[in-house]
Amino acid sequence: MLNKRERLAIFYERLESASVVSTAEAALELVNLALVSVEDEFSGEPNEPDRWQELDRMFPPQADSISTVSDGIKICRSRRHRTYLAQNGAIEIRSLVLDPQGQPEVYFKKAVADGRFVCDVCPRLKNANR
Amino acid sequence: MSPFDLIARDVAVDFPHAEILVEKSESPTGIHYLNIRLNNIEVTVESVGERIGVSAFDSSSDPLDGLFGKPDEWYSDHKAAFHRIASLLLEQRNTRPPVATIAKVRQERGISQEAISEQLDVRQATYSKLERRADVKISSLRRVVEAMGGKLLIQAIFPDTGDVRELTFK
Repeated sequence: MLNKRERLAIFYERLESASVVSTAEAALELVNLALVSVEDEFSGEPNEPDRWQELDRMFPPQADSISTVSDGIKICRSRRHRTYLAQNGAIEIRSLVLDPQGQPEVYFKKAVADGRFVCDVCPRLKNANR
Repeated sequence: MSPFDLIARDVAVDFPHAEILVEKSESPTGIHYLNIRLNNIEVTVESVGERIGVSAFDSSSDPLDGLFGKPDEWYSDHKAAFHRIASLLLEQRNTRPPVATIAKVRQERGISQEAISEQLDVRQATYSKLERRADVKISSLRRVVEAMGGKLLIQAIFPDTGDVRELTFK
């Protein structure tokens, strides 16, 4: 079994190497599949989302933790991070807070076929988090 | 007021210098989040049904801690949760101290293997083997920790109830 940091690294690799998608819904499905596959292989814990409060396993964002803002960006909130899914399928995972320069810490980002990232689709997210 | 709202209110009153972010889910089954930053500590509170989850992170925490995972501690009583949150903020402690090997702790405390071997009245080679073992007797571990000036505590954590019990041996 691997520790969480190692599993997250594999998760990011699988997201990066997966085929590009073209909608926010497909991006969410991609995130879900990548995380479930990594946790199934490397966490040592069963895939029982109902027991997420007990298990030492990462679970994908649930529908009730996902909001869609006015420009169509889906935002998945977790404890200290937000995952953004743009309408063109781009994905970004960043810190909750901005640094003193007004910039977020970005842990992962994936563009789509046209090379555009989340911030290209939604420029206001270059120095804002919602 | 919901237990979550009570906690958010009490934190704002008792810690007026903390940065507070409240985000409530639009879904009745969703999670409400309260993030509190004070000096070097970030405490995250999440309300899930009747339960309150609490996690705290400091500068030694991995920046990816908390992504897609569960809280470190659970409380069914909002006053107990608030007391814990207050304690973490006041003491500037995280809920999950970084895991370390015996060797790492010894090095951080600036103690050589020679020095600790002498205190334990064993050869250095013997002590060195202990640091490399995957399994160590509790009595041996206790002697090593005490030789470093510390005290060994063993905790059993039960995620289903949130109970944390300190264990002792006769």
